[in-house]
Amino acid sequence: MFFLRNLSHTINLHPSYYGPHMKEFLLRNLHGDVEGTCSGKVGFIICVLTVTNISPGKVLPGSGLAEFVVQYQAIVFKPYKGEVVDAIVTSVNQIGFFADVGPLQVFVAQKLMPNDFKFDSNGPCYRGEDQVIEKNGQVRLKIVGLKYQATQINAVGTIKEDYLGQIQ
Amino acid sequence: MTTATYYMPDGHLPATIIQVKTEASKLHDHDDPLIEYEYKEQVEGFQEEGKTTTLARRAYIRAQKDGTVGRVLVGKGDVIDDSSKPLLEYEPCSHDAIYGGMCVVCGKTITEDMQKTHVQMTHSSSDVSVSKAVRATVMNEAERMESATVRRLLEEEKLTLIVDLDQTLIHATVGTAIDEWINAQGEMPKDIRMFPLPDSPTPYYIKLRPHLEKFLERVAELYELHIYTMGTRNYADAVSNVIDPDAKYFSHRILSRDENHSMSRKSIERLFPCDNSMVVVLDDRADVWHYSPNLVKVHPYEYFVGAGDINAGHLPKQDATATAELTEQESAATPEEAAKNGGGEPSSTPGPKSGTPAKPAKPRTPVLDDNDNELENALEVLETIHEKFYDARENFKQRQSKHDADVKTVIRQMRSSVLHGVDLVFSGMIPLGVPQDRTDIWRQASTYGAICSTELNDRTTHIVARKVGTSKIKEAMRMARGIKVVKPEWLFHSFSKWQRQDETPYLLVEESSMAPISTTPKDDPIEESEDEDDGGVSEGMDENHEPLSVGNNFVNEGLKAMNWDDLEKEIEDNVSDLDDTDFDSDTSNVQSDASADGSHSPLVNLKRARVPRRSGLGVTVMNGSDDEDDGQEGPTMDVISSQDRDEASSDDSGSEIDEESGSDGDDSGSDSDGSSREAKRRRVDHGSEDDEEEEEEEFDDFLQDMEDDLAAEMEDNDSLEGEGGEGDD
Repeated sequence: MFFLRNLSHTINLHPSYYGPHMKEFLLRNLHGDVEGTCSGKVGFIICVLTVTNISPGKVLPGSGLAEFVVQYQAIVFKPYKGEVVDAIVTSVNQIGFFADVGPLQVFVAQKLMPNDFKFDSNGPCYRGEDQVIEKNGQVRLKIVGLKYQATQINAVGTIKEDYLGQIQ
Repeated sequence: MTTATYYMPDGHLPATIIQVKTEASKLHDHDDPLIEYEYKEQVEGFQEEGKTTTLARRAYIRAQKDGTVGRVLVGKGDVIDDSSKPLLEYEPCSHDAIYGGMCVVCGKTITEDMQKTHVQMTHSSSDVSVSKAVRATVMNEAERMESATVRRLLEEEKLTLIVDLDQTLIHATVGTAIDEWINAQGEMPKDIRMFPLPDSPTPYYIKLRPHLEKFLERVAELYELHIYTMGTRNYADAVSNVIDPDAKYFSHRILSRDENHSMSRKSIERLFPCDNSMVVVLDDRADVWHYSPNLVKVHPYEYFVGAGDINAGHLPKQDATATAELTEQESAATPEEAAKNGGGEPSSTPGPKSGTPAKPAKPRTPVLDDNDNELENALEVLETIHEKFYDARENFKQRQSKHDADVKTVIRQMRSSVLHGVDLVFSGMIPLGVPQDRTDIWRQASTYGAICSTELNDRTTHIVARKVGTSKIKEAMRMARGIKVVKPEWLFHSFSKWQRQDETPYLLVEESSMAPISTTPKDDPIEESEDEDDGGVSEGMDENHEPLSVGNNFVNEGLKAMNWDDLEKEIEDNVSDLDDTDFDSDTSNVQSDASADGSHSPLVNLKRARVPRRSGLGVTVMNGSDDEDDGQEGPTMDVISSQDRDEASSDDSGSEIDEESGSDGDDSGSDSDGSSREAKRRRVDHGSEDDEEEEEEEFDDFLQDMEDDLAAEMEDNDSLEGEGGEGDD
């Protein structure tokens, strides 16, 4: 699911950036640092929308770097168990297939495909009655398990339910 | 997956459901409470002695395994009075497959402990994040998938073939030397392809093994092909891209070092954990496969000389003998093969000679001839295996046998019939000090059905040797039983063609000289020993050797009761002492001794032959010890030698040898004994060249005789001259 979240990020700025363009540097740093990252807590940070506040810089003793705390709003993607998502198949093997839901990789085991799905090593792909799961195909799947780790999220999914499976 | 149904335990009837703590399709851990209920229990003497009290107790229906709830069939407040009434359906999950630390079926986090029972089974995809990979338990999931694979293969009448890349299908190299060479060629030579890899500054060059395309095309009709390489993922993908651009042979079935989880071993179990009865492996190295019975070994393909296997850095060192032999074999075979192919395609083969003169001694210069037929041979073998496998299967089917065909059996049978009935002796092939039955060539010959022996015996049919004149060949000539003396190429070609080759082109010694000759005194070794000019090959030692054996016998007659071991040791000491003395004076001593005492004439011969030889050896020792262990043995030897010299100058020359034995034998005996043994060892180490080895072998035998004789003479002198020597010290 996508959320709009208020987040904060701490930036240490090198003295050489002190000056009139400091804010630009801070924003550039912010975008570079947080967009596209993943944490188990907030999920995937898709994009920074607005910067709500930049704290006054505090010069750190010893190094001369200035510390800014930037408050910002960002769109985050955090998958949940039971969520139904659309995905693109990235690889198929005899145990199941991998699909990408944006930045999230989901694995769907053969057991969680409808019973008539058979593995076909030529392709390779899974063939059901009227469906083919093959690389670069689109599927709709339901997330059945998630593991949030510090910097990554793993997910397993199923297509063994009504209205799930290949999207024509 | 079987669904379990939960019932109320018998002792708890009737029971009232207090709360259903779960719902349909909810995931539970082992021992989670699912349903809470209340039941009545009669307890004696709870409140009052002798009276029973009825107590209401609460208990839970608990999940017996990890799993998901199917249907819940009871509700809050229901009274259960029948133990056959189902309460709920529960689907236990055995977590057969794991992805990213989760069961792929129920999504439960799996602990590290449990993951240990899982194996990796897929060729990983090129996606980086997949190195976390899917795992499947050996027993269940893997078996199921494999049986599916087997069924599919049987339907298509195929087998599985796992092929190695480096030196099996291709030969790869990288570096500036080859870069320069390629540039000097102007255009890319035939069958050499180039590709860059992100982690290398210079591009990789690979040479396709001759007949590769045909091989893949034909073999893909009979086998499902897998790549299993010790190269990195990038490398494997790049190479497969070159040899199989349409991905029609290998598709996604590529396993690289990145997914292998072992830097030194390959195993079929990695891909086929349960059933390898339809798996054939094609590789140039047997050791990494633990000499698997599924393996069809090919000769390593080497095109860029000196490049070796660029991905073998992590592998255990190849058997030194084997490599030495193989490379030699290759170069030896080339002209012959070229002749066989009627010149092959000399115009199209890259001409390194034209590139080399400008920069001689470039290590990586392709060989001139590229007439490697290994893949054609392998193709034939694989075709035969396929045919025999399906024949055997048909056979079993008809007999309705429980057993099923197995490529291991097929390969074993095919292989062991190749050299069936051949009884081999290697001569000058295996360095001394190497356990013979551990060498590659020995093992290989055995797997091809030959019987290998260390010594000639009356069953021996072949001697494999690199050159004539070894003691074993001579012995075989003496035996004159028609033993064939063949070059090792005979073996290698038989191995690679899986067919016993005709020996004639490989004979090292004319058959006629080995054949039994009816009327000849040669048949009797004793008679021969008296005949000085006997034998086709005569070496310096031989002349000495023969009469000595007579001397030996003669001395032995008189001295049977002696303790030979002690004597031998003493002699050994003596000899190493002698090493250091100026042997000019030594020989002259001996000679004077000889002229003084004519009755010992055979022994004189012996000494003359021996002393210089041995001194030569001794010098090697000294050099070695000076260089390497800086004076550990050096000083001792020096002291001895100076003593020797003193004695030699002060004493009567005739008694010198036994004096030495008297004075030094006890003090520094162990030292010099060690050093002489060291000398031998070192010689063996350095003796990778054949003649040295052979010489050493013969020389050792020879020395043994010498020592015996010397010992005898020594004893003789001792008894004559008493304890003079010992008193001196």
